[in-house]
Amino acid sequence: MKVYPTQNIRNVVLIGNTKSGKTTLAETMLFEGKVIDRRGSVEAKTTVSESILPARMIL
Amino acid sequence: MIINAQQGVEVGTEILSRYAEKHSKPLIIAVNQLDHEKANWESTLESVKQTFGKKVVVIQFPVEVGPAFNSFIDVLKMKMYLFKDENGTREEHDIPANLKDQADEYHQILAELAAENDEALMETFFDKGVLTEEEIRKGLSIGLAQCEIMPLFCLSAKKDIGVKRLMEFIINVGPNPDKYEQKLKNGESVPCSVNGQTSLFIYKTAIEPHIGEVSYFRVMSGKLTEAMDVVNHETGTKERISTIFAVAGKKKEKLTEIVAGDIGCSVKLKSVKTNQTLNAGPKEWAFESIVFPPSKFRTAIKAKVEKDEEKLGELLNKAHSEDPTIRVEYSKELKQTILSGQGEHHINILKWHLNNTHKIEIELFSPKIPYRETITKVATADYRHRKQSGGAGQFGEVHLLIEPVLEGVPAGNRFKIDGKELVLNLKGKEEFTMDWGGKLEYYNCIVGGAIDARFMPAILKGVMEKMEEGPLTGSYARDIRVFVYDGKMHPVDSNEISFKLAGRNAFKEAFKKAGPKIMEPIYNVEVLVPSDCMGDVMSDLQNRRAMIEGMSSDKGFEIIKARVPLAEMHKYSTTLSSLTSGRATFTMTYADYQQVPADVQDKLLKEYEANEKDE
Ligand SMILES: Nc1nc2c(ncn2[C@@H]2O[C@H](COP(=O)(O)OP(=O)(O)OP(=O)(O)O)[C@@H](O)[C@H]2O)c(=O)[nH]1
Repeated sequence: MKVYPTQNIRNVVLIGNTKSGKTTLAETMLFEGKVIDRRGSVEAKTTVSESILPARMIL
Repeated sequence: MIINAQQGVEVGTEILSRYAEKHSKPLIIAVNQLDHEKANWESTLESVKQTFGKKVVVIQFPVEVGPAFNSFIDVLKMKMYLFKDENGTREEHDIPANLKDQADEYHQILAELAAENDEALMETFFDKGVLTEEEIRKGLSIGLAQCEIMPLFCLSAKKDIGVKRLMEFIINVGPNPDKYEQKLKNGESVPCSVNGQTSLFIYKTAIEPHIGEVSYFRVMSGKLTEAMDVVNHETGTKERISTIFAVAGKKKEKLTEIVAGDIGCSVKLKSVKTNQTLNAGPKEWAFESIVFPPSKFRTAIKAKVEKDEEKLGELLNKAHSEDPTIRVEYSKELKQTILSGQGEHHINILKWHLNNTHKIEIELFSPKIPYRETITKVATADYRHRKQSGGAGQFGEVHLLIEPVLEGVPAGNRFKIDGKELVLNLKGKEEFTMDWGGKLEYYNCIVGGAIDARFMPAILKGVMEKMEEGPLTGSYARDIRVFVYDGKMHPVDSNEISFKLAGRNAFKEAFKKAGPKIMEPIYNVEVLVPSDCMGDVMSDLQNRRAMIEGMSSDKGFEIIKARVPLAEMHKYSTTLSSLTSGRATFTMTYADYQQVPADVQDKLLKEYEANEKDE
């Protein structure tokens, strides 16, 4: 994978009320950034962020 | 900041934006779900402007909202973007004639706001009345980095409309990491530069299936290469970062190098914890810790079967290292394990995992309250301990007087007891600060050798035992002066144990006559509540024996300051949340101890007596 120089890095956090679309936006951004080639959906629990949820949710 | 166009600004929006403001983080506003049939652009924009005021700068507005949402006008590019599918395929068009005026108007406001951030731009703007796209970008970039402006974008994350454009903006205008000084614990700061010493900040650790412990870090300075050695500033432990990964959810991709500003993770480090800094050089940097919010919900926890206790302890410690807002503490005083977190729901998720993932049945119950006992007036007691049932006998008699320790009032030697004057000869004084707060002063006032000096420590020991397990409710006692002024010995039967018991019981009897009081911990509670929920929150507080100390208002919120007994705060976060639909927040910090009211004291005494009988 490419090494990104500091000037090309942006530290971004997606924040918003529950259900505003954080997970969906992250997924679409990863798709647009070509990190993933298919978008998962929140409903089918197939998004990238959802997959780390078990780890994120303690233990 | 993502805003749901069905709802406009919501509770979470308000709470999160306060955090962003506090930490001086720039915000971009993304109005999402514009394709939803219930989406409302006008009311959403209105609520955003009401909440964030003049900082909001509209970069885009939609042509049509609801299921027909497929295009928006971008007033920075002065173009219309049209989307043909749900995969982000977009076309650029000229702005339709009927929207031109509005676009021009927004563009003008945008140029003006952009110019305000830079003097040179301001001059250009005055001279020419316009700015180029490049100039606007420059102005926005400065304004954004300084949190002076909040650019607003239109999105459907679901249909991939506007997402790419938002990303372009973040890339072109959003600040680089090297725009920010990074604070160290010692107050100095370090630039986020690839030329500095390599230094990593651990912002999260997790245990992931099939991998084990994963340490997530941000490169604060320098560059990290594979197999680099670093030292943990806190523990001095040397770690080798043998592999570096870039993370996207479950997916981890190996990197050979990663530079300042980037985030990554590594595995199999020996012992790193969240908030620690790892340095690959002589400078012992320690970056400022992430401050986790104080706990809002406390509960006592135990395993249903005793053999699970040890495993439970390990799991709770693990839970804490993965999620530092879960806190675990064993209270020696209460003899309970106290678990605290951000709310009842937070704790229930943990409970669910313990039950289902780890198959441990647990019980949650309200924590005991660490009461204290003290006295309010002078009293005396005589106690004779004697035992003569075969073998060596036991004999000890102690006469003592007790009085409260009052701040700034030294011990006197004249007392009135039942109308009679008692004058003591204060010989030796010992003073102790109790582990649980408050004092014990112990005076030897024995005259004429009524009790040998060698028994004085035993009497003190007896008193101490009762201080630790107070006469009223078994809670710690505090702030008492004890004067041992008389007694009797037996030439054969007197020994240490006899005097310990006599001292202990004399103290207990005197205590009960000395206007004993139970003290309870009081907390300073600060509630931030939307003005329209004020009444409910106030009357609930009053039911919790709160003393309201002050009120003030700030942007549609009221701040209530109150002193509330800990005993009344159980599950407060849950109640407050339901009274305000989650729109209020609160903090509580320990203040001091205060006497409980008479009715509460009666209740506590009865409870303790009933319990004593059971045992
Ligand atoms: N119509 C429409 N629905 C959306 C859009 N973005 C998200 N949703 C839906 O809104 C719901 C919530 O989206 P999420 O992406 O899970 O939102 P979130 O902010 O991550 O939610 P929490 O993690 O629960 O706070 C899901 O049902 C999504 O499919 C959008 O642009 N348009």
